[in-house]
Amino acid sequence: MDPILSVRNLQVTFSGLGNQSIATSDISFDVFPGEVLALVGESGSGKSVTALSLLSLLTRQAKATGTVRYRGQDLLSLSEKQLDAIRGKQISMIFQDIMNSLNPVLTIGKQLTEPMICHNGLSQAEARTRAVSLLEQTGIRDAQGIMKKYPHMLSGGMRQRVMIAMALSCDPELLIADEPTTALDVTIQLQIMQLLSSLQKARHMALLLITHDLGLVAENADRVLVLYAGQCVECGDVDTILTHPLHPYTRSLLRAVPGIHDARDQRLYNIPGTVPESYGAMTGCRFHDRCPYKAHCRDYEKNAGLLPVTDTHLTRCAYLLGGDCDA
Amino acid sequence: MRKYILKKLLTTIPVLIGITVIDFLIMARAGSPIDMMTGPRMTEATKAALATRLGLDRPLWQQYLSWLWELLHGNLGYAYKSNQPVLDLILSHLGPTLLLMGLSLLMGLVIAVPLGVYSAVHRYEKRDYLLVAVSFITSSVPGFFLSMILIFLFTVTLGWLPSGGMVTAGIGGDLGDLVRHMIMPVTVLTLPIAASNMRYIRSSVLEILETDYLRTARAKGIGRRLVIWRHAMRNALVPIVTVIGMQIPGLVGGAVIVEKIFNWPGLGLLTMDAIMTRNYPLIMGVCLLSAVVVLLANLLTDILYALVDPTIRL
Repeated sequence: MDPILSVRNLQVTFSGLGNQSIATSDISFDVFPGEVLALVGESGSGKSVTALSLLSLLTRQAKATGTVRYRGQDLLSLSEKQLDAIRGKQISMIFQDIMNSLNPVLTIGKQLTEPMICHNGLSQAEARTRAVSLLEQTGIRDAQGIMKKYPHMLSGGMRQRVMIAMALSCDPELLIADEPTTALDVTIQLQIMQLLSSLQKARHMALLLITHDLGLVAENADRVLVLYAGQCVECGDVDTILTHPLHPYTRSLLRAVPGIHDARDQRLYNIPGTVPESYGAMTGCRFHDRCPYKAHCRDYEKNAGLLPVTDTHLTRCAYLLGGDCDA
Repeated sequence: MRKYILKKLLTTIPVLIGITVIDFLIMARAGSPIDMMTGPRMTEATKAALATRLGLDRPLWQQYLSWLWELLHGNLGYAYKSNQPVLDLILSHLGPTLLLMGLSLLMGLVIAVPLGVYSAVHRYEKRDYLLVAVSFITSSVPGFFLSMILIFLFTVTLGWLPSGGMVTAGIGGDLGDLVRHMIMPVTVLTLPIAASNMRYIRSSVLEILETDYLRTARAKGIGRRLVIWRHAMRNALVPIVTVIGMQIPGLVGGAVIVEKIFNWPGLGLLTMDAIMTRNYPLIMGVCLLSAVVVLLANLLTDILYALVDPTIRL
């Protein structure tokens, strides 16, 4: 099966006054039709930057290089006008900061009908009818009433439902969800994730799920891509990554998840140190300083690239791949 | 909303009284009108009689209270010398000023809005820097200087435009004549309004362009025009409304210098003459009018806020 989105060597650079900093380097992945691909990593690993660069939504100071191939076109080389034909129609996006992601001075109805009127040429009335049914599909009861309201009158969960309805309004092939549940409380998180998952399955739509929540990954993802310091360090299908990870960072992430059966006096594992601040110029293994196998690993200065474990499983750690360890 | 407006209007009454008291005190400190009316051959007795006739011999608080009392009966008093009712004088000069200033503000905004938005959209590019530079230069040129240049160029040298007045005596009166009289004063007044508002609009739009909801709008692929004019502009209007609200009182105060240079028969000219001749009733009338306009403009600004931004409820 051919991928619908194919990202190769994506590098995003931010240039400020005189200095440049590299936010992501060498990120490559494919998204296949109808699958859920999770992009996992801690804060500062480059998840959101990657997501935003796919549709060229980063600020002007950012520059993305590499290729993002969608239906034979390289999205990074398209003009704004050409991109607008794809944004919201074939690839849509929902965002992390739901409190500020809807326009405060326009009604929900206005914002929701906009993409359908622009992309599908629907009339006002047709778009409204469809918008109401979309809102109902996202589990909003008083859909007619919501259409006339402004964003500040809605709760966070409601706003995210509106965002989802808006993103799905033109039946996209791919939905990019940038931490869709981070700003919500736990019970609403569950509802929103179930909603996203059921809509994704019903529409056979691909979902690129950006998250730091491994619980979400375990429940929803088909494949996982682990990011660390702007690089992809491991990728594979969800079962492999969660049960047989072959990169020390993935292993550490999994160890840091609190278990419900953990003893009460057990201290939660945490990865020592933080993500290095400027990792753009680093060569070799970027995780080495924090790595639990630091003492044994001798090849950390070599830039290994992604190494195949199996057909579908790749890792950047040559040491664990070599298998001369007891972990 | 209706309740808010009513409340706001009621609170303006004490504010207005306060303003008139202060105006009255300042005016009285500036000197007596009698000095401006007397000649060298006038006797002290005549002066005293004049003061008595005009009520200027009474204590200040009595003068103020009688002015207020007449005001409550709809009487703004009579101008000294000409004895015309102050209200009539103000009303006859209000029209030309509103025409001049209203047109200038409108033209200023018509120029400022597209240029400001254009500048913000092309931020930190050469054309943005150029527009900002032009705007700084334009707002730095003093109005009287520009007026002189224009008169020298278009009246003295080319002879295309009249140097002053509102209509040509004798033959004037039609629209074309009025327009020809207005070109220069309107230009002088429009340029600084356009220049400063352009920069307000630019910075306001710039701020909005960085917001999350604008990113959402871009992610929808609805095209740049809608993103800017529907999503960015409505939000950018909120701070701009404040600035315009502050510019409205200037409409009525008139541009004293420009009216003087172009001999425009407006309120600015009237105010200037009233102050120069210490024409008490006229000064008070004009002051009261500007106070009322300032307060109404503030109220209008509040109402516009609520219309533009649904999160503000009055």
